[in-house]
Amino acid sequence: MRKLRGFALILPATLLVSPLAAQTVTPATRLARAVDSTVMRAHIDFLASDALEGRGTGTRGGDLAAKYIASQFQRLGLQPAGDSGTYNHQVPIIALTPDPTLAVAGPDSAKLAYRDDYVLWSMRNEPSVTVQAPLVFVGYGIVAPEYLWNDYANVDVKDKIVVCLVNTPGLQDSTLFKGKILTYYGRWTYKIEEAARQGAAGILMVHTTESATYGWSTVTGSWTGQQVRLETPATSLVVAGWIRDSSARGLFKRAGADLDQLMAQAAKRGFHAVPLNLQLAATVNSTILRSTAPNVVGLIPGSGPHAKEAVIIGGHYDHLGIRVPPVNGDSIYNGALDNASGTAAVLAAAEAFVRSGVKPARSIVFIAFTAEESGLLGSQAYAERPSIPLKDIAAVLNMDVMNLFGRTTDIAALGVDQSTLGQLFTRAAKDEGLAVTINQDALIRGSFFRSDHFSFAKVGVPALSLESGITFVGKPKGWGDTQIKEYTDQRYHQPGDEMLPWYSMVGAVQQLRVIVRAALAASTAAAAPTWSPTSEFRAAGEARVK
Amino acid sequence: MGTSLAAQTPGDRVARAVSEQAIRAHVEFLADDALEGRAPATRGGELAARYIAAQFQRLGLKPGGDSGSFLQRVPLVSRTSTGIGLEVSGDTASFRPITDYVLWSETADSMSEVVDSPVFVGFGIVAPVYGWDDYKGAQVRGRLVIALAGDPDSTIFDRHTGMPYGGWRYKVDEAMRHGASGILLIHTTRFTPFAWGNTIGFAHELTAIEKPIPSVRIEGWLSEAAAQRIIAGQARNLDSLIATATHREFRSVPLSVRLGLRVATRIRRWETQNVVGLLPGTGPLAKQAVVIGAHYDHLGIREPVDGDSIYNGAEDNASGTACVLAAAEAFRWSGTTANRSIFFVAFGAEERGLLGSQGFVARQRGRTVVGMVNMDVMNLWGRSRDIGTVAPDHSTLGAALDRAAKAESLKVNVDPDDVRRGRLFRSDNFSFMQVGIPAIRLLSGLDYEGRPPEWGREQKEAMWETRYHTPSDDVKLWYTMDGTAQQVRVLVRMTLDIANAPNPPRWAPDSPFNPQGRPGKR
Repeated sequence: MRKLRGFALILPATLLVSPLAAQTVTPATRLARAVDSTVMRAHIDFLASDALEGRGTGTRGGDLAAKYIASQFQRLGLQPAGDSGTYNHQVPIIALTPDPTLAVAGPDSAKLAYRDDYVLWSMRNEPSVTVQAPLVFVGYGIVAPEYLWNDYANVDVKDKIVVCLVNTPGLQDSTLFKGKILTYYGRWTYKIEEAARQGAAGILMVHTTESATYGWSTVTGSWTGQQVRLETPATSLVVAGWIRDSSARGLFKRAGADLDQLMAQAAKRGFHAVPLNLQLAATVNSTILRSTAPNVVGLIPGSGPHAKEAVIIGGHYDHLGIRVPPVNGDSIYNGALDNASGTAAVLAAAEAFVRSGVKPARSIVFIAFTAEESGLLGSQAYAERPSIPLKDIAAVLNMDVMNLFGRTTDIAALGVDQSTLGQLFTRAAKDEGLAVTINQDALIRGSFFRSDHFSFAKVGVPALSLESGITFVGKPKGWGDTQIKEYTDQRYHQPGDEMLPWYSMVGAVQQLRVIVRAALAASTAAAAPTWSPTSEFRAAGEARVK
Repeated sequence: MGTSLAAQTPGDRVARAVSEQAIRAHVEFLADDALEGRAPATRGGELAARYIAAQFQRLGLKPGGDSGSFLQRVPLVSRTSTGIGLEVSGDTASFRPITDYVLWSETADSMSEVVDSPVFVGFGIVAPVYGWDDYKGAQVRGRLVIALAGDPDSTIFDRHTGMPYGGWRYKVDEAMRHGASGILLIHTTRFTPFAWGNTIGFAHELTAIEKPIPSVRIEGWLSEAAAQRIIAGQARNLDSLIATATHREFRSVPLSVRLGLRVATRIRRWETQNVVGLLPGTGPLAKQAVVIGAHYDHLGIREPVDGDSIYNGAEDNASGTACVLAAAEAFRWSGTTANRSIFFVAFGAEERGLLGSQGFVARQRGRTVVGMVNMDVMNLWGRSRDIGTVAPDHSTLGAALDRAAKAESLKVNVDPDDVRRGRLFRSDNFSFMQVGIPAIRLLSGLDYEGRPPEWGREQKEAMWETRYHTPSDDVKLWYTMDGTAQQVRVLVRMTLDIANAPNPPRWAPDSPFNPQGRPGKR
């Protein structure tokens, strides 16, 4: 501090007007002011240029992006916080292309038709798996103590194949769960995780367009080709898949059960799982490819009693790479908004900390995640094998698609309602003169579960993901929605997601100033953020810090 | 404390902002296998250019390239001779291509000329500083000149430190200044510093920057034997002509012989890119600029050596490029500007013959470049007590280097070995010197902290003899950036010194680069 005041003596007179005024500039304000739009634009321009070839996971372009990010961390003097003294946290990735058969077992055997009746994949990293087991209908397949709900109560599904519905009972009864707002219990990923916890050998999810929020063609489109996932240890599950509601209806009939009746019962309190008098035999042959891709991790050390703890500022750097056939002669998926912008924001946040000289209390960990587009794999791998112990990670601030559309009067984030981290965010927004908008539509679509912060929420780390405000300065009401819709329809996950001449850094700077303020607040807070009592992640959060 | 702060100069501040870790980050990125050796017009080279541009942009430099970007296109022409012919009146025996002569043209894809009475112009040198003029009284406009390669007396021309008057490019340029239509160089074992066999390279691809059509349409080499045959019918033979040509009193000699010359050329047009960032000056001298430059290109992917085909070019010249970036970063983060503007430039295609820097000097508009500091192959070996350069006494830049080195407690050391190896004119500083702009090249020292006295010399030998222009010029585990940071601190100090001085850098009156000593130049 003495050194700083001494330095001020030789600065231009304009900075010396009032020593008192100078003292009122808080570290948070100094940090926010160090967010540099030029830095952010330079990084986006580079990462989204054709030379980076769309930053596909496991491709030359993806590797180049990782090297670039590591090089920037190194330049800034961040400590390497990946594997063995490097910035790279390697993520083992396995890609399987399934070739399944599924049949009713027993004297009355009958084959089901792949793609028409069902899709199925192996849950083991093996070229061929087989399972034959009786079916148990487990309703929505949910165990949620905070909603006093347990579909697995008093039933043993060990070594059985469970059949369940997706979404939550809230879909049919608005007094249950959060009504139509999708909680994590409704996601297909949750159903599989819970079935594994219960020791099941297989899971079949019954598809209806209403409960899944997408049609059967999306199911066949998403789960019949190559599937990329982390190379993780095996669970009890051997196979997992979807079954079409019409096909499930027939199957249930064979067992003397009525699917529609059971579906109605499943949404009622007191539902009990129903063993079916039917066995299925499943075989999945898979062709397997293995690779690794790095998360890039750099750290600014904290000081004081909480220095071992950390606040993560993250964003994924991967995009879709080069794909054929070209769209309008362009085959490079530049991913300028998705997510060169968020990656650039992570780098600019690191630069702001370094340039402002603001020292955090909890350490700040900057992570550029890989393989987000393949299903949040990079962040999931980090959460499973973190370089900072999970109990010491106080909060995660994720940036996925920054606002390059212009200045706003508001800001938003997924998860502000979930934990006290949301309060820190709201306070930071207020300090930047921005209101926090809640996006109801995103809640129903379950957007919270669709970016990297979620991998941390799942294991109990309070996390949120930055979103754009909707009220743009000097633009008519609804202009922002129109821009977002246009982006979603015409550029999202297409080669047209490039840097456009009219994009501006003004809005992204507003957003990043809020993020660095929130990060600093989470870093210096006496107690780490906690989940709100109604959050489905509270239990995981409490288990984590035990 | 107050006193020490008051004593801190802007030079101290900018030097203090030099970051070792930034240098390392840039060197490691640029020399990574992923950059594929950064050859011009390859994706590795373009990636390097983009990377450098992104750093300039990040640092808030003004784009100094084409149409508001940091990239400056440099159009290039490559030509390869596909067929050549030479006939001499009165000599019925044939002249054999490659064995007896080599011809090429930089202007046309196919030509055939008959020339009467070419003019022998001795060594073809005009050097008023040395009181030498081989063209005095000569009538060569529109005629073919024949000149001896090399220079007549290294004690006069000192080709080791000065302008390479003996070089073929100089002789072509000089012939062009006199309006000659062509030039043939005679290779002699006595004056030409390389064997005849090397001239075959002139039949292979030669690349130059695209420039206005020159008067010289045809160029070539004659072997000593071929020259003797051409001159056979004259009053004096070759040995006699050479004898007169080694004296200042030499006057050109018209030859009464008729030559038939034929050249077919394949021409390829392509381009490379310089990356140019500008830190605008803040005073009335802002229209003048100092250049901090380094070439970023290297040799790309070539024939594997020990299974490695990527010519990473870590020392040559990821190191120099990193110095330019680190210097820009130091100016930015110390908030330092100068009276004159500063250009930060990464040159392309240096390895192809200083082409990027030639393109840069050919295209200066608006701002006058008054001086240039070149960083090519910098010190990745550790802290030293000295810093190298060549020919510091050619201009006032030498004194600026002395002051900056002194502020960093470094001695300036001119290693005769660097001089002997032509370090002065084998890098981009030479492109500036050729057009009369004072330029200087920084090199590594010889005296390393914590090392025995001969260690620096050994490293230098290992670098130039073993790693230079091979795939093994990559980032070694033992490299450190503390020595590089010393060099960058000297660089930023001297740049600031030059950019703030009341007068621009000046050539020494006796420097062969002094434009006053070079008619036909500004």
